Amino acid sequence: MYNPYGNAAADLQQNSPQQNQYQFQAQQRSGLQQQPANLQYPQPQHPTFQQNQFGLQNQQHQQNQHQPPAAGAANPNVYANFFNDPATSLASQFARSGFESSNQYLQQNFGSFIPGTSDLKYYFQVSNSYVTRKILLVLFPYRNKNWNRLTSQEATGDPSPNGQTSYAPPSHDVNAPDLYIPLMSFVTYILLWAAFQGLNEKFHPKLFGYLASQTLAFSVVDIAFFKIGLYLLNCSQSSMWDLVAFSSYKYVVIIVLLCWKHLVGNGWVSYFPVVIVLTINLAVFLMRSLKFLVLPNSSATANSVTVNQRRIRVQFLFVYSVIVQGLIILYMSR
Amino acid sequence: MFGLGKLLYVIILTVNGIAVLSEDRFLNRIGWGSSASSPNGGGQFQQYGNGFDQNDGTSVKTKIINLIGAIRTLLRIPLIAINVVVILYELILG
Repeated sequence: MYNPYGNAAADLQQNSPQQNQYQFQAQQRSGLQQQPANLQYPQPQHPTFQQNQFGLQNQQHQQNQHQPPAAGAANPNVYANFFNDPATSLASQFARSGFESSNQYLQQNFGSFIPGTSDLKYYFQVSNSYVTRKILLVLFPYRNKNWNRLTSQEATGDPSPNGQTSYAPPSHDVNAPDLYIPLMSFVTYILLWAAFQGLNEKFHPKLFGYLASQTLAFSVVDIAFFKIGLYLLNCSQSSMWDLVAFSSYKYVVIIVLLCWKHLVGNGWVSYFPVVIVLTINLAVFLMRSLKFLVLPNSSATANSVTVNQRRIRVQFLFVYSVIVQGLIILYMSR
Repeated sequence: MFGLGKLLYVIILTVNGIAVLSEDRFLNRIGWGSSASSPNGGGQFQQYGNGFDQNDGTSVKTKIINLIGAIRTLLRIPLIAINVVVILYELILG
């Protein structure tokens, strides 16, 4: 805490009692006021600088000028003076513990639902090369050889800090889901649709709201369908954001289809084959990427599924990837 | 136009529909009651009949039954509140 009177508390015997009391109050006020701004910076002991900082409290300027020798001489540690003040330290500890306990409660019970408390940073660690490769993969998934997600150990070579194996972030692994592409493509889709409506002179500003609401409703239905399917088929419970990410990759396809439709029109020969091809590509991409969610990977032999269950799960994955996504793509690119 | 508001209505109505399924008048009659469900499920889920000795032993049908039961138990009272809110909204604001 920035406290020009920091040494006033330390060198008690040099100051008058009345000045001490006043400085203590000033210290409190100044501490509570300036706590966030000055914690990071080393405390300058220049009296004029103190005056500029303390512009509000005029009476103390005179006392500033009485202080410079004592203040400038020896004040190595600002934080000791901050915690010397019992009220602010008590308040800060109380606030910190309260915040931590509330955050922990939220994270335990609602961690998967509330965006602020879950680990979303993982999904935004993307790089340019990842983005280009992923978009090409969504549109043409036949050149990728290995669809398994890397763990963080395999990608960077150092063991995970807390002992659990976690997946590598998207910048290291092209198979990892991310939330950057879905978010960007969602916004781009809405803007593009509004732009095309504007070219047809059918634009009004409420269109953004209608489109966003409609798109979000479809995505909610889509993800709910997949999540309920995973639950009913006893698949291992996975992260919600993975599902959101994979389900939203179709916006990339929809954007491409919109642009293509605007170029070549609605013809049977030029437009619909492209729709079919891109839908099939997206289906292949989704089926290969979501395989790790639906089917147990080869290393987990403890809970292997029977052949029949495996068939049902594969059928479910197929229905989801082809039919549901196909219908949604057809509807959203009209 | 299918927006978030209509989606909310669809969800509320669907959950209402599931919540009013009567246990002894309907579900037991068609063999979907939670008390009457046996490890050997009938019909086309016969292949999951021996599910109890496998991964965690629940077939699709058992899970659906559990889901319906859970919805009925947990959501009956909150649904009353939500329905009252929606009805008031529709009455007052059309």
